[in-house]
Amino acid sequence: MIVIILVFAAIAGMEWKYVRGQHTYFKRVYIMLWIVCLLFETAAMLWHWMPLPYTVVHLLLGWLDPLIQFKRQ
Amino acid sequence: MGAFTPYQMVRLWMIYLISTPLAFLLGQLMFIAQFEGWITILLSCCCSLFIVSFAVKLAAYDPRVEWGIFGERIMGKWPHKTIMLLIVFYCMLLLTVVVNAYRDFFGSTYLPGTPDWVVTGGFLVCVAVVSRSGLQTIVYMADGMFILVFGVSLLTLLFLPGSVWPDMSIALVTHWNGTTIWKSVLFVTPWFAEMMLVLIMLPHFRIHNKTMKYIMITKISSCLLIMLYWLITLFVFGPHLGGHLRFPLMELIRFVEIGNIIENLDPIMISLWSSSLFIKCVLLLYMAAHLLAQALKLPSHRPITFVLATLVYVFANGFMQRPAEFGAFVGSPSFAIFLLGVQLIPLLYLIVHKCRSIGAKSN
Repeated sequence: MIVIILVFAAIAGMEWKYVRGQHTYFKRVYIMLWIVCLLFETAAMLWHWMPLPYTVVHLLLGWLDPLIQFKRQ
Repeated sequence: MGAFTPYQMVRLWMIYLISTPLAFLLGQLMFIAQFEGWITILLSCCCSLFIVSFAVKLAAYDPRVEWGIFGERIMGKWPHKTIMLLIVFYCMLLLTVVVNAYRDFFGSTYLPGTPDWVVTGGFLVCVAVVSRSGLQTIVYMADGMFILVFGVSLLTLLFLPGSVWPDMSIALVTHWNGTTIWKSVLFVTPWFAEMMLVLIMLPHFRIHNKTMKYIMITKISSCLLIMLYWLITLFVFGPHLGGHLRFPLMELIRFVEIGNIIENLDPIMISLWSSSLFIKCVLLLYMAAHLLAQALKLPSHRPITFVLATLVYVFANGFMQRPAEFGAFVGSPSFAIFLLGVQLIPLLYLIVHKCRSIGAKSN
């Protein structure tokens, strides 16, 4: 599965052709975003983290689940 | 700005709005609402219209400029950027859910034996390539698919089997339970209120102060189609069996036979649903990349589209390994309330704007 991450990272890396001709700020933001995402993704895959959306929604609003039950009584 | 016609917007959003409910959420609606589903769909449509009207009103503050740009004049720079990032997260969350449900459905039915990560990865590469091309490609694609998707969806209704139990219809008016209805409305409203995202792209359409008219056309048509399919599925399977089927509409379509020419309609329906889901995914990824580019003041969303697609792949992969948690998460109140909270963000902007204008007047 890590192969797919590398494929995506390679495709995203190919965008460098376009980014290279842009302003320095764009280049800097692009490289930072690319590296941060790649590191996060690799860590998430290697250590089997819970998906970020699940974690965030549960941390913020998980306390509501026992209060409202969607299942029919 | 203003490159597309209003009916292009209607077509795009009609495809967007019917894709997920028809393919994946009818079963859950039957499980939660049972015979009260019709009133749930009607009430949710009204609630979501109300929610979308806040987005339209907010977009009307500066019809020529996108919300991502003018929003900071209302909210301030950093709060606005934070909210934009929250909406990026919202788009990616929805995209993850749709991609995962698609993989579950398509992979298990038509690609058994193919590894899940290949199905998800292949689908996401296609989604990312199209969303990288921009709004014009997405709008034209929706234009092309619209007649096929709606034509076949309406035609299929005519061929639905004779195993419908019309006697069940009396239960539609005899079953009333306030608690079930409000809980179902809470569950269903976020499906329809997803149209709040129209805020991000409204300046690209030549609408001229009639936005709500077109939004009403979109919503009413999609709700009617969803309700028709819900009714027929209910009358064929009943609420108990229907509520426990993973893809009730797919089972229903398998009943359809048109003579000897086409043995079963399901491959046609699946290809059309796949296309509508594909358009929804493309639009969500485009909006996430577009908003992130605006938040970071980048001139184009193109280079970050694949970066976001990779993130969605990792999220979807995480859910793939935990199917029970995924099922519970999508059907949980916390998920529905999170979606509703994000969909009500335009209201926050309207309130802040009102408070500021009152403050400015008193000064």
